[in-house]
Amino acid sequence: MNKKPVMLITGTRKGIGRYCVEYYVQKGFFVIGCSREESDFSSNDYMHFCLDVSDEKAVKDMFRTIRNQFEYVDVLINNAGIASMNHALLTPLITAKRIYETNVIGTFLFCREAAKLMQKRKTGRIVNMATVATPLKLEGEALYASSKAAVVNLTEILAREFADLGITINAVGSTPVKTDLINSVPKEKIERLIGRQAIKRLGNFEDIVNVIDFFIRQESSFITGQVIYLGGV
Amino acid sequence: MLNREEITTVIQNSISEFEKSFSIKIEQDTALYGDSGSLDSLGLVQFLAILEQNLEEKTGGIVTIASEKAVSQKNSPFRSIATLQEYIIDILSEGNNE
Repeated sequence: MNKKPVMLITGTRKGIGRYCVEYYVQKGFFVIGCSREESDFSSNDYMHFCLDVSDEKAVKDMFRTIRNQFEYVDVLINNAGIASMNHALLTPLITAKRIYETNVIGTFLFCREAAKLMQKRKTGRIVNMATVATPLKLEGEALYASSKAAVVNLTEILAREFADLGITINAVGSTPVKTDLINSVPKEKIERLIGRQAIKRLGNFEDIVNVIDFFIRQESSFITGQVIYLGGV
Repeated sequence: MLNREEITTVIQNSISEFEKSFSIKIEQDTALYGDSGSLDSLGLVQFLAILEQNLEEKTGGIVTIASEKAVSQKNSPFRSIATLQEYIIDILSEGNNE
């Protein structure tokens, strides 16, 4: 029977999600991850599920397995997200739906199902992923930034709904980090964006987990409904 | 699909699980919630979430208890354990839940 704290992270195949898996396994968590495809990470303290985070049936099946095997989840990191850089006039409906389904519906489903498990022990930490693209109102990122604005509002309202259940929920507003998510964005665009930050550099994975560590530590039980933006945005 | 007996068992198990988790006793012969009931509004939400999970465990599908149908009914199906049981039999037999 697992006695380690259990952390669930979405979108763990690559990028920040993958980094978090290795980081939190090393920190002594049992990590459960998921992504649409298989992960190449393996450890006795890691379990991977292949699913689409917006597929309610698949998400519920995953939580049923977690409930039967572990009974609880201590921390949820809602990391899975997709972006698409395009002018609104040229953004296809299918792209708009895909972004909202993954970023908003996926985050909602995982918050809801994790909170059902967390409420029984009257404790839990949820961290969502926001972006500086929302407060900076970036042109070309209308769907991505607005979907993350929805995540911010979801975080703020769920903080109130989950407070009596002993669950805190906060968000990290990341700057661009060197991941696949920004590969398709022109270099000049990234530089212009960084120029609007107080601290003018790309973010890195350590910057993000530093904020996650702060939100999930035991002493942060009085902190909920907050968004910390990196880079001084 | 679950039969009446199986649904009764799931409800009773959910009551036990809720009482154990939250140290709140659910009186089965009186109102479920409200001024004279066992549960406040948050308690009702927590109990229904456990019941929903346990029904899903048994059916292997998605069960939605607090649907628009439930909320819009003149007499709330959540008045008592008895009305809740009849309501669940009703929604599971309608096949509205996956």
